[in-house]
Amino acid sequence: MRLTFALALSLLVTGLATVGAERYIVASDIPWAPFEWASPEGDYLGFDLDVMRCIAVLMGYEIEIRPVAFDSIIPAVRLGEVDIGASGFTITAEREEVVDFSNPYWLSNQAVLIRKDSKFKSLDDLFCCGNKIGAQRGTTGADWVQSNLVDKGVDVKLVLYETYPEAVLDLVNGRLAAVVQDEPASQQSLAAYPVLKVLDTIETNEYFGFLVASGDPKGLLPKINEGMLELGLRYDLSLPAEGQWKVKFRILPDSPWFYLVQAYFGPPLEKVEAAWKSCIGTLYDETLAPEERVYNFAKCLAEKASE
Amino acid sequence: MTASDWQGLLKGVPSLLGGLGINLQILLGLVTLGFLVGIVIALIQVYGPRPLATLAVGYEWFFRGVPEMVLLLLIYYGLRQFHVPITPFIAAVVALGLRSSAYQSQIFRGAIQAVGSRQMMAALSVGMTRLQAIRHVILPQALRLSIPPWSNEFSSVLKDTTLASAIGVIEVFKRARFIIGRQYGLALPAFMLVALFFLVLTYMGNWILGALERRYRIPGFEAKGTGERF
Amino acid sequence: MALLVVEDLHKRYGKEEVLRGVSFTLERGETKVIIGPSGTGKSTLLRCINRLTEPDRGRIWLNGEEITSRRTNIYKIRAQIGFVFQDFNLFTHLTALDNVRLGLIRVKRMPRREATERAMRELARVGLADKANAYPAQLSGGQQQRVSIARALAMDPKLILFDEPTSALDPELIGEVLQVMIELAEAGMTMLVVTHEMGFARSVADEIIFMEKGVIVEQGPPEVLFTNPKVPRTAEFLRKITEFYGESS
Repeated sequence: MRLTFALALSLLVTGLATVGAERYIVASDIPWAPFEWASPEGDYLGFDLDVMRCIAVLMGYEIEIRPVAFDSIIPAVRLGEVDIGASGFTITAEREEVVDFSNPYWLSNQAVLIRKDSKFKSLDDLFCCGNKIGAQRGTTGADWVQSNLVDKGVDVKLVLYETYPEAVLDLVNGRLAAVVQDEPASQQSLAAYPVLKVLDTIETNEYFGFLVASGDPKGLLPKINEGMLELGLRYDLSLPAEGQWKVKFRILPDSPWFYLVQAYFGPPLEKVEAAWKSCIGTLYDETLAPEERVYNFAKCLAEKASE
Repeated sequence: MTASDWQGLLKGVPSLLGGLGINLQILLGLVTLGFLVGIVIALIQVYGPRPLATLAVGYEWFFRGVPEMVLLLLIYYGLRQFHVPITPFIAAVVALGLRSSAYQSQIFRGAIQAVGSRQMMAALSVGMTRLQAIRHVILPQALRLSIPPWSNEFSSVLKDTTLASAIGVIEVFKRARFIIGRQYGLALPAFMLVALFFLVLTYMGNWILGALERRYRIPGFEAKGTGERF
Repeated sequence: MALLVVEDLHKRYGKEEVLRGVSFTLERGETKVIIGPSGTGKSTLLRCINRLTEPDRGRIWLNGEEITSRRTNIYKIRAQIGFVFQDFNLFTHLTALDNVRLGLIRVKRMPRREATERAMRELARVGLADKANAYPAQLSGGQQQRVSIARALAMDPKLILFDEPTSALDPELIGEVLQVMIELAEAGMTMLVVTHEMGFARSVADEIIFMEKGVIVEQGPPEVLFTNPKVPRTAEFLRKITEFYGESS
């Protein structure tokens, strides 16, 4: 009897909590490991998504993750279809015109992948002679090739793909001379195909940010920015001569952010998946305070993934 | 393929099969919708009054003419734009179903015309209404004649279900991309596995339709008549 | 009043006027045979009678009820008028039994059992009880036509219209169909028959109607029409048709 009562009460409380919490839809182009991908069991995990989950816990709202093709995310955000875009979006002036970005959370450059057996010794060898260069449609890698090579009359051909794996496969099969891909994700290509190597890195200094609809109608950006601070991400800003902001990230040691980076950038994906499976429960352990839940989860993930 | 590739592919099979289940649900929905609407459109084209028949021809023209991907996006985003809370799954069923209805109506119209106006006349002559004649005389014959061309349409729409991934339905093709994104080396094997699934499904579907055709076969049943309007 | 009264019937297909004012009557139990060259509107006339084809002008009464009135429930009328087609037009997907039974069940709303008994009786009447479960394609032309007569009979019609019922048959199959029709006439069925079978016309018809180019040229009892036609055109037609088809069947 007492048990039933307790159960009923707890159901009621969680029910009320559910009703009370706001629910936002987070769109992400799955798969793009290690920022976002789906495990064989169908769990959506990755650095972006767990940052979103942790911020939601800290700020007291709920999220639903929805896989959306990369080039459809900004239209979906603008239509109000989804609330947040979390998919390794580089903050660019063009995108700033149509959506609003959070503070930056990642700095990335573009890696230029080639086959080990190809003759290219430098980027100068590669960017000429009608060579075909592949990239995923809508990414900054594709933009860079377009605006810095094709538009400037360099004799290369840009080939666009809906996903990176397809571009990389064409590179392996010899239909492309090179693929331009974000540095962190390129590690995956190298792991899958030992015949590939990084020819060089293009210093694009891309800052990733989370994005919401223009004007932030649901007031999400302050929550996301505050959440990132709470997770342990700090900024050192400097204003160099050209007038361009230069951001340096500083990650607090022993912070959730520190552990999430450790978990997602290094260990193989299968180990991360296994760790995630056993740790995710702690993130939703209602008996603890939100800060504790987030810390325990991130630490658990980093420890189990690097075991 | 390396050992870890095989392992990854094997681990992905349950997820792919789950995705295939979603393709089958879309298939069931779109085929049913296309069948019902297709029959109505065909009947209107053959027996309906002029203005309605013209409208039905326009309907068929529209849904056959617009590329299916465009139709899919048009219906999903179009309806969402007007705040109709349509899920990607339902949008896929509706868009692909309406498109299929245009093709199915053509099949049924041909079959109804092949049954011929004389069967209609004979039914009317014993005092049946047009609806009774359609229900008890025309359709039972027309549907039998429709099975072989319908098999083609079935194979075609079965494959079309993968287009639903474009509006966010996590079906087998999308799941194959999930697997590939996790392990780039599976790009070819995963797509080959999906291709194999569809080959098997097409074979099974056509086998079932063939069995259906044999089950309802009638001695000496053949198309006759002139196909004129009556 | 006569069972069937046709008054000044007109029908036009595009430029061609197929019926140009046809009038005649048919008494209960009477058999009238319509003869005439092909393309003179005989089939159109029959179809106008149960409004399978809508006449442009003119009026028709069955048993005192005006068929051509817009208020008439034409489906009820059609159920009372049997129609036997040149090409039999059996329902291809149904057995002989189901062909006969369909109208009883769907139109007359007869219980299935009763409908089956009735249909079997009519099949027996045309000598095809043993073919009840055969599909049309498994029957000869003559057998198909007899099933279609049974289909018409089952509805208890006040009148049966025959549209060249033997024209599509091989010569050796014509006899069995005519035999059934002769028996029907003797049993007192009211029949209106379009045919080229002059032997049948002569021996069974109470009256012959000779039609040409959409009008009735001459009508009268067979003995008068065949031996002493008033109009020269009738004589000419009869001479030609006897050359073609022979005296009797």
